[in-house]
Amino acid sequence: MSEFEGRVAVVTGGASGIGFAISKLLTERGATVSIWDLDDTAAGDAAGRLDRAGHAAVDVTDEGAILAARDRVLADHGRCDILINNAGIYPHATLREITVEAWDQMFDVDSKSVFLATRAFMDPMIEQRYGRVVTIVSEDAYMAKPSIAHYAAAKASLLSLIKTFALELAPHQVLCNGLAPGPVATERAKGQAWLAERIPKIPVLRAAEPEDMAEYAVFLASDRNRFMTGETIIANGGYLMV
Amino acid sequence: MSETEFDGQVAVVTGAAGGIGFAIAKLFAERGATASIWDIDGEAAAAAAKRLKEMGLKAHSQGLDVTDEGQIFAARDATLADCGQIDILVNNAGLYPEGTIQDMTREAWDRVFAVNVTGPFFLMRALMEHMKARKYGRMVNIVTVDAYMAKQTKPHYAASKAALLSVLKTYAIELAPHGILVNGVSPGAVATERAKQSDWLEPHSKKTPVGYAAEPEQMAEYILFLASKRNMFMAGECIIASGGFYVSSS
Repeated sequence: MSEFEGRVAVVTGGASGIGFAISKLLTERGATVSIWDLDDTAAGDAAGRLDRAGHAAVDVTDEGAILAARDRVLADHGRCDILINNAGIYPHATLREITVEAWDQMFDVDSKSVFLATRAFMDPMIEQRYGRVVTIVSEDAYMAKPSIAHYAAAKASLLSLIKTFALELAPHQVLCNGLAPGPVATERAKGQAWLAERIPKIPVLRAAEPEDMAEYAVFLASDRNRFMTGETIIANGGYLMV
Repeated sequence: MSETEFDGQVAVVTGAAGGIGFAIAKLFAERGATASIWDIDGEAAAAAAKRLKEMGLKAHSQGLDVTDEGQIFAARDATLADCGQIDILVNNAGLYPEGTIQDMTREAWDRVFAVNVTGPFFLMRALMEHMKARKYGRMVNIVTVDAYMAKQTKPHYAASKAALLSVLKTYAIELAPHGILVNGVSPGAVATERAKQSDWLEPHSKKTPVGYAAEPEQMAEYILFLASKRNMFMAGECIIASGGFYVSSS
């Protein structure tokens, strides 16, 4: 029997990059996955490439949209066991350049969305006495980041939020953890100067592939994880050790 | 998942004749590895290996005192002779004695550091050249949540594990370029047979947000994950699996 047989997962921002790699690995190991993405066409295309995958166009900053999409998942599959909070943006901008609008958008997409999506799924998970929530953070949450301060701050806020959800939900067998990746060679990152500059500084001497990152998220989302909650694991090739 | 994930690999687990160490060795063997059980009690190690073999699994045993570098070399050489290679080292052997600041003797302090820090340091060094030559290795050190906290009943234990955290990070930096990933796992309350006899397990379990202590088999999953090829990008980290205890206490 496949490890995730019978499990239903939602992956936000699941149409590409790390989110798609997580969706793919979950389906390969037996789960049914609902790929949520702002881009409906991309979400549909991504779901079409996988077995047992559906999709929904969801703006994760909009609580009404989240609740509607959640209700469809529950109506279609009867449950949701796994929520992967992966959707996020990372526009580079210096402290001088960041506008109020850019600051607010960053916190809406990279922080508030995690609060809203996790809250939306917590009651169904409590009711079924089972759940795994995995939130994608970033190594930048732990570092000063002059080139993208709002991103680093929004991701740092997730470290706190993950712990609060973990304490609230631990008695109900719902485990909430985070994954903080280092540089990942997504299609979008490949060819960018920052990635090439970073690689010689990473002890393992390469960037991660999205599939490398998917393994950590999928482990935290699995039944193999029955005692870890409120933690964020850092997978960055040894670049940062906290 | 595949029961053959570790096929063809050899995993050394120290302190593996019982408790969490045995659960780790058993899970490795169940998933295809040869479990090499190293323990200070050679007879208990042999008996543990025999139990695994009787289940149709691949196992090996060595008696050694991990505080003695000569015995580490001898165990390494004997294991390589018998098993051909070593892919994985789990530094699980450790002491967990009571003690307070007031009643600590120099001998008690030194003994805990010898087993909990010096042992893992020399074990990793003894195996690193072999792993470098093969451009592959996984080392997992068992730390504890006490490494991050004040511990009035075991100051030497907590300090030794905090030192182990530092040691594993240094090895991680040193060995990452060679395909060898070094990490740690910090357990919270684990319901080993010994812990079940103690008076701390029940109150600790009640304080654990998930409401229970981990079974040794549950803790073994974290060690196996970090020791596997699923882990290709994590080095120098220590993951905390405490049922939320650490989050609720920090």
